[in-house]
Amino acid sequence: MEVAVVGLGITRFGHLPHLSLEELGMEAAKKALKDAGIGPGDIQIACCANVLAPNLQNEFTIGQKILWELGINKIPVINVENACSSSSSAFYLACLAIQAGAGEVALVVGVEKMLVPRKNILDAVTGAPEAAAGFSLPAAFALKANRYMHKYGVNVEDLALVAVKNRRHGSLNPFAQYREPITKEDVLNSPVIAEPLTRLSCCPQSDGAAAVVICRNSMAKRFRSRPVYVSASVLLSGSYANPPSLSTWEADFRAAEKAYAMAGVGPEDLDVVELHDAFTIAEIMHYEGLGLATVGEGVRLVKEGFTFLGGNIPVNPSGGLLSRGHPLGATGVAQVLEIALQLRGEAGVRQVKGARVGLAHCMGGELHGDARSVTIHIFST
Amino acid sequence: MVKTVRENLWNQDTGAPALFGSCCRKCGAKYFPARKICWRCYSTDQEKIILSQRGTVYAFCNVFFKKNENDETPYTVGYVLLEDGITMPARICCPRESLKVGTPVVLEAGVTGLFPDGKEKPGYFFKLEVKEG
Ligand SMILES: [Zn+2]
Repeated sequence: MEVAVVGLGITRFGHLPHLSLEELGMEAAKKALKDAGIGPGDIQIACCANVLAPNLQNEFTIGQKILWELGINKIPVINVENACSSSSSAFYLACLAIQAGAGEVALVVGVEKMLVPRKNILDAVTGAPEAAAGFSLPAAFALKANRYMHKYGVNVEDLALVAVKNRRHGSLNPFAQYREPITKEDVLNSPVIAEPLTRLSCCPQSDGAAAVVICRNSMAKRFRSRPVYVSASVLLSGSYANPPSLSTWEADFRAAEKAYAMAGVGPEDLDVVELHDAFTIAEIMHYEGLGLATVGEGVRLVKEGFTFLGGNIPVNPSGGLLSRGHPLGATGVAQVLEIALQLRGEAGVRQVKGARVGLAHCMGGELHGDARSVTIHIFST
Repeated sequence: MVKTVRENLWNQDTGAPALFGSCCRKCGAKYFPARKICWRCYSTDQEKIILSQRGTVYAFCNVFFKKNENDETPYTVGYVLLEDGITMPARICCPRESLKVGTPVVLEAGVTGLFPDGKEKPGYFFKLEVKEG
């Protein structure tokens, strides 16, 4: 692709009652502009992702609101909703826009404020017979976990290691919601949500925002001496097969194949990965979908330490959704930002040494046991 | 008799539980819930059918958290693989210790829980198949 990432901005993730949705978005966007060394007038296209504002804040087209406050106007602004992969979908759109020559510099903002008193969230499983049967997101993932464990002889202790790893990584990330490491016993002894998933096997709800500035790659060096290049950008929907697989996401495999072909790399070339660990089981299944492990062997990566920082292929060095937090509309861009930081060599104490190729994977929604959307972005130096 | 909350999920005329799905007249693919367009061959020629009332547990989990105060936990949800060859999401009401992937189950209609306002929530669920004789 002919796109580079040149500006990064993120807020703290967590419970942030003192900041409004607009203030969160502005903070991340302002930081991204500053990081790129540009002003509001330089942005030619903007994509803004958010999921819940129409329900929780009675707001819509939040992108224009944030950008208006920043003084960014008179440009194409697109608001994007694609469940958990909203902001990675916004990033995808912005990449396409740059690639198509619609502009040279674009801003992508992801913002969400979930921890509001008005109501509790969150049911991406609404309206379907699943909802009538009493399904919820944790139940949908617990079903997968049971099916996976039944099929491959994996136990709950193996799954718990994913949470231990990501909490350890999150303890190194000043923007993470949870910064206290936990043990396998902590995970197993926390209250059961939907068997076998305990509270610490599930990501939290969060407030937060993240933003990135991207540009046409030929001009990237005007902004930074070491830009990060986008070498693949893929967005696909699920196939919703019946019977559903439940122990794999078929969309992962399709998206990964397409992304690797586009980037001209394979899973063996990756130095660092951010992926969608909404629940511990999800990380294991995504290892397999991304080709980091063969099907049925995913837990080995975490059991044998490969995906810990210091291992062969660190996964979720930011702490992932489990530890960094999961403000729905901000997660996809937060993942892109982490990979870009790593490839710049600016990730501080959680830096993956010599990282040159990284991948960000996000998955949104649940429909008949399949993902509604999957995004994969591959980056290189 | 159980009143329907959603049409096409069971048969309120006969009072017997019956799941309505669709079958593609062109390629034979079956669906639950019923579809207007076949996702295999894109035909719009879909016949309304009553699906099998028997199946096996395809996947399940026990839910311990309450979505609303009236939820009785734990309860079990899962996918049942019908004899028709398709899965459907359902509440499964079986003793937890007898529940495994592959356990034979049959359809039943009744109260599956309570609404937040305390009213009974009618619906369908699957229970252990009891072999006759
Ligand atoms: Zn058909």
